[in-house]
Amino acid sequence: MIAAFFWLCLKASLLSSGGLGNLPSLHQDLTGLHWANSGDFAHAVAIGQFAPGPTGLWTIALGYLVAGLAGALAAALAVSLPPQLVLVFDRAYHYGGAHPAVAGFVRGITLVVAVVVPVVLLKVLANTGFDLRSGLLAAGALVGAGSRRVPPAVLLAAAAVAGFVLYR
Amino acid sequence: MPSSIASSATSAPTEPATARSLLRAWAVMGVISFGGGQSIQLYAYRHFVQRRRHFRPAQWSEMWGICQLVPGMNLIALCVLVGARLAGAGGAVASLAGLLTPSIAITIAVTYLYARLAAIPAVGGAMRGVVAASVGMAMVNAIRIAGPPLAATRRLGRLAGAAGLVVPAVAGLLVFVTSLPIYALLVGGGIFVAAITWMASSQGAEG
Repeated sequence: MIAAFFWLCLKASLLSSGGLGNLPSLHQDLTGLHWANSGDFAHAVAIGQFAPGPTGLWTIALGYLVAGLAGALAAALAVSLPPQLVLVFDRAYHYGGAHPAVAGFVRGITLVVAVVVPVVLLKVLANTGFDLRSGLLAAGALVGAGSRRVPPAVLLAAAAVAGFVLYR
Repeated sequence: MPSSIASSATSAPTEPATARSLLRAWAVMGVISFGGGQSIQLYAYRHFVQRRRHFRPAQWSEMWGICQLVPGMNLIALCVLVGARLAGAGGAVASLAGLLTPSIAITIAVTYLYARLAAIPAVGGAMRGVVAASVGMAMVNAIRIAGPPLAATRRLGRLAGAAGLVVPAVAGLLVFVTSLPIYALLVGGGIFVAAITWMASSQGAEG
Protein backbone atom coordinates (compact mmCIF):
# COMPACT_ATOMS: atom_id res chain seq x y z
CA MET A 1 0.00 0.00 0.00
CA ILE A 2 2.81 2.44 0.85
CA ALA A 3 4.38 2.06 -2.61
CA ALA A 4 1.00 2.71 -4.27
CA PHE A 5 0.38 5.69 -1.99
CA PHE A 6 3.83 7.07 -2.82
CA TRP A 7 3.13 6.69 -6.55
CA LEU A 8 -0.25 8.48 -6.26
CA CYS A 9 1.38 11.35 -4.34
CA LEU A 10 4.25 11.58 -6.83
CA LYS A 11 1.89 11.54 -9.82
CA ALA A 12 -0.33 14.20 -8.25
CA SER A 13 2.70 16.37 -7.46
CA LEU A 14 4.16 16.00 -10.96
CA LEU A 15 0.90 17.26 -12.46
CA SER A 16 0.34 20.18 -10.13
CA SER A 17 1.57 23.59 -9.19
CA GLY A 18 1.79 25.21 -5.77
CA GLY A 19 1.19 23.75 -2.33
CA LEU A 20 -2.43 22.70 -2.82
CA GLY A 21 -2.22 21.85 -6.50
CA ASN A 22 -2.09 18.11 -5.83
CA LEU A 23 -5.29 18.18 -3.74
CA PRO A 24 -7.90 17.52 -6.48
CA SER A 25 -6.05 14.51 -7.93
CA LEU A 26 -5.28 13.01 -4.54
CA HIS A 27 -8.88 13.56 -3.39
CA GLN A 28 -10.21 11.75 -6.45
CA ASP A 29 -7.70 8.89 -6.21
CA LEU A 30 -7.71 8.27 -2.45
CA THR A 31 -11.45 8.63 -1.86
CA GLY A 32 -12.00 6.39 -4.91
CA LEU A 33 -9.83 3.72 -3.28
CA HIS A 34 -11.49 4.36 0.13
CA TRP A 35 -8.05 4.97 1.65
CA ALA A 36 -9.13 8.42 2.87
CA ASN A 37 -12.35 10.33 3.33
CA SER A 38 -13.20 14.02 3.11
CA GLY A 39 -12.64 14.36 6.86
CA ASP A 40 -9.01 13.26 6.46
CA PHE A 41 -8.54 15.85 3.71
CA ALA A 42 -10.17 18.60 5.78
CA HIS A 43 -7.93 17.79 8.77
CA ALA A 44 -4.79 17.55 6.63
CA VAL A 45 -5.44 20.90 4.94
CA ALA A 46 -6.08 22.48 8.37
CA ILE A 47 -2.76 21.11 9.69
CA GLY A 48 -0.99 22.36 6.58
CA GLN A 49 -2.31 25.84 7.31
CA PHE A 50 -1.27 26.07 10.94
CA ALA A 51 1.95 24.01 11.02
CA PRO A 52 5.12 25.97 10.18
CA GLY A 53 6.77 25.53 6.79
CA PRO A 54 5.32 25.36 3.30
CA THR A 55 1.53 24.84 3.00
CA GLY A 56 2.22 21.93 0.67
CA LEU A 57 3.25 19.86 3.69
CA TRP A 58 -0.47 19.19 4.18
CA THR A 59 0.24 16.09 2.04
CA ILE A 60 2.49 14.77 4.82
CA ALA A 61 -0.33 15.19 7.34
CA LEU A 62 -2.59 13.30 4.94
CA GLY A 63 0.03 10.56 4.61
CA TYR A 64 0.14 10.21 8.39
CA LEU A 65 -3.66 10.02 8.63
CA VAL A 66 -3.83 7.44 5.81
CA ALA A 67 -0.87 5.18 6.67
CA GLY A 68 0.90 6.41 9.81
CA LEU A 69 4.57 7.37 9.92
CA ALA A 70 5.43 5.38 6.78
CA GLY A 71 2.68 7.22 4.89
CA ALA A 72 3.98 10.58 6.10
CA LEU A 73 7.52 9.77 4.99
CA ALA A 74 6.32 8.43 1.62
CA ALA A 75 4.35 11.65 1.08
CA ALA A 76 7.37 13.75 2.10
CA LEU A 77 9.56 12.02 -0.48
CA ALA A 78 6.89 12.25 -3.18
CA VAL A 79 6.34 16.01 -2.78
CA SER A 80 10.08 16.78 -2.59
CA LEU A 81 11.12 15.06 -5.83
CA PRO A 82 9.28 16.96 -8.63
CA PRO A 83 10.47 20.46 -7.59
CA GLN A 84 14.08 19.31 -8.05
CA LEU A 85 13.45 19.49 -11.78
CA VAL A 86 14.19 23.18 -11.21
CA LEU A 87 17.88 22.41 -11.75
CA VAL A 88 17.09 21.13 -15.26
CA PHE A 89 14.86 24.14 -15.97
CA ASP A 90 17.51 26.51 -14.64
CA ARG A 91 20.13 25.05 -16.96
CA ALA A 92 17.74 25.17 -19.93
CA TYR A 93 16.89 28.78 -19.07
CA HIS A 94 20.54 29.81 -19.23
CA TYR A 95 21.04 27.98 -22.54
CA GLY A 96 18.40 30.00 -24.37
CA GLY A 97 15.31 29.89 -22.21
CA ALA A 98 12.62 27.29 -21.70
CA HIS A 99 10.55 26.33 -24.74
CA PRO A 100 7.35 28.43 -24.90
CA ALA A 101 5.26 25.25 -24.98
CA VAL A 102 6.75 24.09 -21.66
CA ALA A 103 5.90 27.42 -20.03
CA GLY A 104 2.42 27.25 -21.60
CA PHE A 105 1.85 23.69 -20.35
CA VAL A 106 2.66 24.63 -16.76
CA ARG A 107 0.49 27.77 -17.04
CA GLY A 108 -2.42 25.67 -18.29
CA ILE A 109 -2.08 23.25 -15.37
CA THR A 110 -1.86 26.15 -12.91
CA LEU A 111 -5.04 27.74 -14.30
CA VAL A 112 -6.95 24.46 -14.02
CA VAL A 113 -5.64 23.94 -10.48
CA ALA A 114 -6.73 27.45 -9.47
CA VAL A 115 -10.34 26.61 -10.27
CA VAL A 116 -10.50 22.93 -9.39
CA VAL A 117 -8.95 23.26 -5.90
CA PRO A 118 -11.71 25.58 -4.58
CA VAL A 119 -14.40 23.30 -6.06
CA VAL A 120 -12.88 20.22 -4.39
CA LEU A 121 -12.45 22.12 -1.12
CA LEU A 122 -16.14 23.00 -1.20
CA LYS A 123 -16.93 19.31 -1.68
CA VAL A 124 -14.64 18.44 1.24
CA LEU A 125 -16.37 21.01 3.45
CA ALA A 126 -19.81 19.79 2.34
CA ASN A 127 -18.89 16.19 3.23
CA THR A 128 -17.64 17.06 6.71
CA GLY A 129 -20.82 18.31 8.34
CA PHE A 130 -21.24 21.59 6.50
CA ASP A 131 -23.74 23.94 8.14
CA LEU A 132 -24.40 27.67 8.37
CA ARG A 133 -21.80 28.10 11.13
CA SER A 134 -18.97 26.42 9.22
CA GLY A 135 -20.03 28.30 6.08
CA LEU A 136 -19.77 31.60 7.94
CA LEU A 137 -16.40 30.67 9.42
CA ALA A 138 -15.04 29.65 6.00
CA ALA A 139 -16.37 32.85 4.42
CA GLY A 140 -14.87 34.97 7.23
CA ALA A 141 -11.47 33.30 6.81
CA LEU A 142 -11.69 33.77 3.04
CA VAL A 143 -12.30 37.49 3.46
CA GLY A 144 -9.63 37.82 6.18
CA ALA A 145 -6.99 35.93 4.20
CA GLY A 146 -7.94 37.73 0.99
CA SER A 147 -7.41 41.12 2.64
CA ARG A 148 -3.79 40.15 3.55
CA ARG A 149 -4.19 42.27 6.67
CA VAL A 150 -4.80 39.48 9.16
CA PRO A 151 -1.94 37.03 9.83
CA PRO A 152 -2.95 33.39 9.16
CA ALA A 153 -2.11 32.36 12.74
CA VAL A 154 -4.51 35.02 14.06
CA LEU A 155 -7.25 33.86 11.69
CA LEU A 156 -6.87 30.25 12.79
CA ALA A 157 -6.81 31.15 16.49
CA ALA A 158 -9.96 33.25 16.05
CA ALA A 159 -11.64 30.39 14.16
CA ALA A 160 -10.76 27.96 16.96
CA VAL A 161 -12.33 30.25 19.56
CA ALA A 162 -15.39 30.86 17.36
CA GLY A 163 -15.76 27.12 16.70
CA PHE A 164 -15.51 26.37 20.42
CA VAL A 165 -18.26 28.90 21.17
CA LEU A 166 -20.52 28.05 18.19
CA TYR A 167 -20.38 24.25 18.55
CA ARG A 168 -20.68 23.98 22.35
CA MET B 1 27.28 24.54 -9.54
CA PRO B 2 28.57 27.42 -7.39
CA SER B 3 27.66 29.55 -10.33
CA SER B 4 29.25 32.66 -11.60
CA ILE B 5 25.77 34.11 -11.64
CA ALA B 6 25.60 33.82 -7.90
CA SER B 7 29.07 35.18 -7.33
CA SER B 8 28.40 38.13 -9.58
CA ALA B 9 25.00 38.62 -8.02
CA THR B 10 26.14 41.54 -5.98
CA SER B 11 29.37 43.38 -5.52
CA ALA B 12 29.42 42.81 -1.80
CA PRO B 13 27.83 39.72 -0.31
CA THR B 14 28.35 39.89 3.44
CA GLU B 15 30.01 36.46 3.49
CA PRO B 16 30.12 33.44 1.12
CA ALA B 17 27.36 30.91 1.60
CA THR B 18 28.33 27.39 2.65
CA ALA B 19 26.28 24.22 2.88
CA ARG B 20 26.24 24.63 6.65
CA SER B 21 25.05 28.25 6.58
CA LEU B 22 22.35 27.34 4.05
CA LEU B 23 21.19 24.42 6.19
CA ARG B 24 20.90 26.72 9.19
CA ALA B 25 19.19 29.55 7.33
CA TRP B 26 16.50 27.37 5.72
CA ALA B 27 15.92 25.40 8.91
CA VAL B 28 15.22 28.62 10.83
CA MET B 29 12.89 29.83 8.06
CA GLY B 30 11.05 26.52 7.99
CA VAL B 31 10.42 26.61 11.72
CA ILE B 32 9.50 30.24 12.28
CA SER B 33 7.37 30.83 9.18
CA PHE B 34 3.69 30.44 9.86
CA GLY B 35 1.20 31.07 7.09
CA GLY B 36 2.75 28.93 4.40
CA GLY B 37 4.78 29.79 1.34
CA GLN B 38 4.23 33.51 1.36
CA SER B 39 5.87 34.03 4.71
CA ILE B 40 8.83 31.78 3.83
CA GLN B 41 9.27 33.70 0.57
CA LEU B 42 9.39 36.91 2.55
CA TYR B 43 11.94 35.56 5.05
CA ALA B 44 14.06 34.10 2.24
CA TYR B 45 14.07 37.41 0.35
CA ARG B 46 15.09 39.31 3.47
CA HIS B 47 17.87 36.83 4.23
CA PHE B 48 19.40 36.16 0.80
CA VAL B 49 18.76 39.50 -0.93
CA GLN B 50 18.55 42.19 1.71
CA ARG B 51 20.73 40.94 4.57
CA ARG B 52 23.33 38.63 2.99
CA ARG B 53 23.17 40.26 -0.46
CA HIS B 54 23.81 36.97 -2.27
CA PHE B 55 21.36 37.96 -5.03
CA ARG B 56 20.12 41.17 -6.56
CA PRO B 57 16.36 41.73 -6.49
CA ALA B 58 16.15 41.21 -10.27
CA GLN B 59 17.96 37.88 -9.99
CA TRP B 60 15.62 36.83 -7.22
CA SER B 61 12.62 37.61 -9.42
CA GLU B 62 14.15 35.67 -12.29
CA MET B 63 14.74 32.66 -10.03
CA TRP B 64 11.16 32.80 -8.74
CA GLY B 65 9.98 32.97 -12.36
CA ILE B 66 11.92 29.79 -13.20
CA CYS B 67 10.37 28.09 -10.16
CA GLN B 68 6.91 28.83 -11.55
CA LEU B 69 7.70 26.51 -14.47
CA VAL B 70 8.48 23.56 -12.24
CA PRO B 71 5.82 21.05 -11.16
CA GLY B 72 4.96 20.67 -7.49
CA MET B 73 5.81 23.02 -4.65
CA ASN B 74 7.45 26.19 -6.00
CA LEU B 75 8.99 26.94 -2.63
CA ILE B 76 10.96 23.68 -2.57
CA ALA B 77 12.14 24.50 -6.08
CA LEU B 78 13.29 27.95 -4.92
CA CYS B 79 15.09 26.44 -1.93
CA VAL B 80 16.95 23.92 -4.15
CA LEU B 81 17.79 26.59 -6.73
CA VAL B 82 19.15 29.03 -4.14
CA GLY B 83 21.28 26.28 -2.60
CA ALA B 84 22.60 25.08 -5.98
CA ARG B 85 23.52 28.55 -7.19
CA LEU B 86 25.26 29.50 -3.97
CA ALA B 87 27.05 26.28 -3.00
CA GLY B 88 26.57 23.66 -5.71
CA ALA B 89 25.02 20.22 -5.19
CA GLY B 90 25.95 20.23 -1.50
CA GLY B 91 24.20 23.55 -1.09
CA ALA B 92 21.05 22.25 -2.76
CA VAL B 93 20.95 19.17 -0.53
CA ALA B 94 21.69 21.21 2.60
CA SER B 95 19.00 23.77 1.75
CA LEU B 96 16.40 21.09 1.09
CA ALA B 97 17.27 19.26 4.30
CA GLY B 98 17.21 22.52 6.23
CA LEU B 99 13.78 23.56 5.00
CA LEU B 100 12.09 20.18 5.16
CA THR B 101 13.53 18.20 8.08
CA PRO B 102 12.23 20.37 10.93
CA SER B 103 9.00 21.25 9.09
CA ILE B 104 8.22 17.60 8.38
CA ALA B 105 8.99 16.57 11.96
CA ILE B 106 6.74 19.31 13.34
CA THR B 107 3.96 18.49 10.84
CA ILE B 108 4.01 14.82 11.87
CA ALA B 109 3.98 15.74 15.56
CA VAL B 110 1.10 18.19 15.03
CA THR B 111 -0.85 15.58 13.04
CA TYR B 112 -0.35 13.03 15.82
CA LEU B 113 -1.65 15.48 18.43
CA TYR B 114 -4.43 16.75 16.16
CA ALA B 115 -5.74 13.22 15.48
CA ARG B 116 -5.95 12.58 19.20
CA LEU B 117 -7.27 15.97 20.33
CA ALA B 118 -10.01 15.97 17.67
CA ALA B 119 -11.59 12.95 19.36
CA ILE B 120 -12.08 14.89 22.62
CA PRO B 121 -15.59 16.40 22.53
CA ALA B 122 -14.50 19.57 24.35
CA VAL B 123 -12.08 20.51 21.60
CA GLY B 124 -14.14 19.12 18.72
CA GLY B 125 -15.90 22.47 18.17
CA ALA B 126 -12.63 24.38 18.05
CA MET B 127 -11.32 21.87 15.50
CA ARG B 128 -14.41 22.29 13.34
CA GLY B 129 -13.82 26.04 13.40
CA VAL B 130 -10.18 25.58 12.39
CA VAL B 131 -11.11 23.20 9.55
CA ALA B 132 -13.74 25.61 8.16
CA ALA B 133 -11.33 28.55 8.32
CA SER B 134 -8.56 26.47 6.73
CA VAL B 135 -10.81 25.70 3.78
CA GLY B 136 -11.51 29.43 3.34
CA MET B 137 -7.79 30.29 3.57
CA ALA B 138 -6.81 27.48 1.21
CA MET B 139 -9.28 28.82 -1.35
CA VAL B 140 -7.59 32.22 -1.26
CA ASN B 141 -4.19 30.57 -1.80
CA ALA B 142 -5.54 28.52 -4.71
CA ILE B 143 -7.14 31.52 -6.40
CA ARG B 144 -4.01 33.65 -5.96
CA ILE B 145 -1.88 31.29 -8.03
CA ALA B 146 -4.00 32.11 -11.09
CA GLY B 147 -2.70 35.72 -11.23
CA PRO B 148 0.75 35.22 -12.82
CA PRO B 149 -0.34 32.73 -15.55
CA LEU B 150 -3.34 34.92 -16.43
CA ALA B 151 -1.06 37.95 -16.79
CA ALA B 152 1.45 35.93 -18.83
CA THR B 153 -1.19 34.70 -21.30
CA ARG B 154 -2.62 38.24 -21.64
CA ARG B 155 0.84 39.53 -22.60
CA LEU B 156 0.92 37.05 -25.50
CA GLY B 157 -2.05 38.63 -27.25
CA ARG B 158 -5.82 38.49 -27.46
CA LEU B 159 -6.13 34.81 -28.41
CA ALA B 160 -3.81 33.58 -25.65
CA GLY B 161 -5.48 35.93 -23.17
CA ALA B 162 -8.89 34.49 -24.06
CA ALA B 163 -7.52 30.94 -23.73
CA GLY B 164 -6.25 31.85 -20.25
CA LEU B 165 -9.81 32.68 -19.23
CA VAL B 166 -11.58 29.87 -21.10
CA VAL B 167 -9.44 27.02 -19.75
CA PRO B 168 -10.18 27.54 -16.03
CA ALA B 169 -13.85 28.32 -16.76
CA VAL B 170 -14.33 25.09 -18.74
CA ALA B 171 -12.32 23.07 -16.18
CA GLY B 172 -14.43 24.43 -13.32
CA LEU B 173 -17.65 23.63 -15.16
CA LEU B 174 -16.50 20.10 -16.06
CA VAL B 175 -15.39 19.25 -12.54
CA PHE B 176 -18.71 20.53 -11.23
CA VAL B 177 -21.05 18.69 -13.59
CA THR B 178 -19.05 15.59 -14.62
CA SER B 179 -16.84 13.04 -12.93
CA LEU B 180 -14.04 13.28 -15.48
CA PRO B 181 -10.64 12.25 -14.14
CA ILE B 182 -8.85 15.34 -12.78
CA TYR B 183 -5.70 14.29 -14.66
CA ALA B 184 -7.57 14.57 -17.95
CA LEU B 185 -8.50 18.16 -17.10
CA LEU B 186 -4.95 19.02 -16.00
CA VAL B 187 -3.28 17.50 -19.04
CA GLY B 188 -5.96 18.82 -21.41
CA GLY B 189 -5.68 22.35 -20.01
CA GLY B 190 -1.88 22.14 -20.10
CA ILE B 191 -1.74 20.97 -23.72
CA PHE B 192 -4.28 23.56 -24.87
CA VAL B 193 -2.47 26.51 -23.28
CA ALA B 194 0.90 25.09 -24.43
CA ALA B 195 -0.32 25.02 -28.03
CA ILE B 196 -1.76 28.54 -27.85
CA THR B 197 1.42 29.85 -26.17
CA TRP B 198 3.66 28.24 -28.77
CA MET B 199 1.53 29.61 -31.59
CA ALA B 200 1.45 33.11 -30.11
CA SER B 201 5.23 33.06 -29.45
CA SER B 202 5.97 31.90 -33.02
CA GLN B 203 3.76 34.65 -34.47
CA GLY B 204 5.45 37.19 -32.21
CA ALA B 205 8.89 36.00 -33.36
CA GLU B 206 7.87 36.18 -37.01
CA GLY B 207 6.27 39.61 -36.55
